[in-house]
Amino acid sequence: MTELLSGPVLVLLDALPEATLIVAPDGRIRYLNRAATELLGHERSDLEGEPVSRIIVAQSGQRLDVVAWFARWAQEPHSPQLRFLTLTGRAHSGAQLRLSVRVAKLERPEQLYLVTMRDVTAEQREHQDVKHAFLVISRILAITDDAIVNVDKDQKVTFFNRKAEELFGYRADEMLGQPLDRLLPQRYRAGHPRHVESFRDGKAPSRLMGERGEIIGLSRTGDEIPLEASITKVFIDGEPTFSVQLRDIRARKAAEHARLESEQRFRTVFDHAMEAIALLDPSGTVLELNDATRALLGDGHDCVGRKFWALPWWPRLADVNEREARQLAMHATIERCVAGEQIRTRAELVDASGAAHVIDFSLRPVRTGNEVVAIVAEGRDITALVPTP
Amino acid sequence: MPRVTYVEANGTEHVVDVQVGTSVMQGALNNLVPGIEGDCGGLCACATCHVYVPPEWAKRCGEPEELEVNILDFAFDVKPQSRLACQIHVTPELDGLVVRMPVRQY
Repeated sequence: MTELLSGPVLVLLDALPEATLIVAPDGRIRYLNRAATELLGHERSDLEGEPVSRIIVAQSGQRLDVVAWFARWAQEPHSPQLRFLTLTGRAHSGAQLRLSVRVAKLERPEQLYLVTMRDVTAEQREHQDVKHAFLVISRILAITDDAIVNVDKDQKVTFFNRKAEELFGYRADEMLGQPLDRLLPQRYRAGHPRHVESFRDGKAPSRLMGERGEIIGLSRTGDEIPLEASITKVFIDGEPTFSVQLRDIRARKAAEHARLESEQRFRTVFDHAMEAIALLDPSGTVLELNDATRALLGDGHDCVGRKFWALPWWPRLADVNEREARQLAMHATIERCVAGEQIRTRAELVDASGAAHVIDFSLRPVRTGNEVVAIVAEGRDITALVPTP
Repeated sequence: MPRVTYVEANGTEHVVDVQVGTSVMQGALNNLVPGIEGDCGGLCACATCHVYVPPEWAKRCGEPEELEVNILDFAFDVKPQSRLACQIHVTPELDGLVVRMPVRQY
């Protein structure tokens, strides 16, 4: 122990709350204070006179020469490296510690390095955990099938994911810092800030797709894009950040339009057919029937959802037993069809006005694989073709 | 824009377009490439954007300055082809560059 490191100086150093080492230019530890012994779990006598590399260790593939860096840092006390570089320490227990190290050099009465060490292991791990969570979430947002655009309080874009790039035709780096207006058709620009302000000041933290109508976006090429949007707000340090999730509904609208058109065409054919046509499920319940069938049954009957044989086929038949017998016969015929048989027969009906009809009637099973999933019932009025007896 | 391939230590490849005038580190951060930390934001002061540049690309990436060589003392698993990605400035000549990441940056 030199004269310098004695008496009141040692008392002061030992009382410092920061772990402190005093290291000679040859890298040997001359002194460590109580905070350092507590941090490293060593007795003072274990380390005094030992090389500093016993507690500050180079890692695999690290070409770090700690003493050389002490010299460099001591020369440049305000160097940014001091802010960002951490060293790895080894405690007596063998545990690795991440240490934020600061160094000063004493020239007189002898050359010594004064080294303070702060344990940043937990802080660094926490920082890394946050970074990793951010990375995971950011990558999820990057690949999501919806466009995500964040804007700040001035409605300048702060985040623009890959789907947004694809949807609007701008690269993220072109949009960051730009006003959101660029993505809106001219006619909506003036009124848009009012909507955002009302959402900002409202009680709802989010508005979801479906709670609001369609909105229109503007692509780089000038195309207007119908969109559904969810929006949420987060206040950070009192300033709002808005995150908007946008879904391109062009494909859905086109599919819906195509479906409606197809349905309309089908209904046109179905309802304008000369033949009476009905679709039944395998239990004989009516799923659909066309106008020709309704005409045959007479107006005003709600037939969908009823059993086919229970429809008013025989309105003038007063004999209940006879009607029941005919219904049973029709039920049995349908069951044969459900079993897979295709049936064609001639039926005679008398409608509500008393007119007699001869019907060329057929039942055809509809299969998915081997299973009968539906029955198509058809009836053509052939009264005019049948020779009068 | 020049296309850069970042290869993680586990072999996962990230092919991204990086704007001319930025750095290879910034390209990784902007495109959420894991394995490059860039704690100091590109000041050449933290050694957490350590990458390996294949010898055939070394010349086009430019010679490292003394500060970068010194800071590489703090990187892990340093090899002759080690560089700090924040010090590789992206130019059109770097289109097709492949950089590999070490197992650890901390």
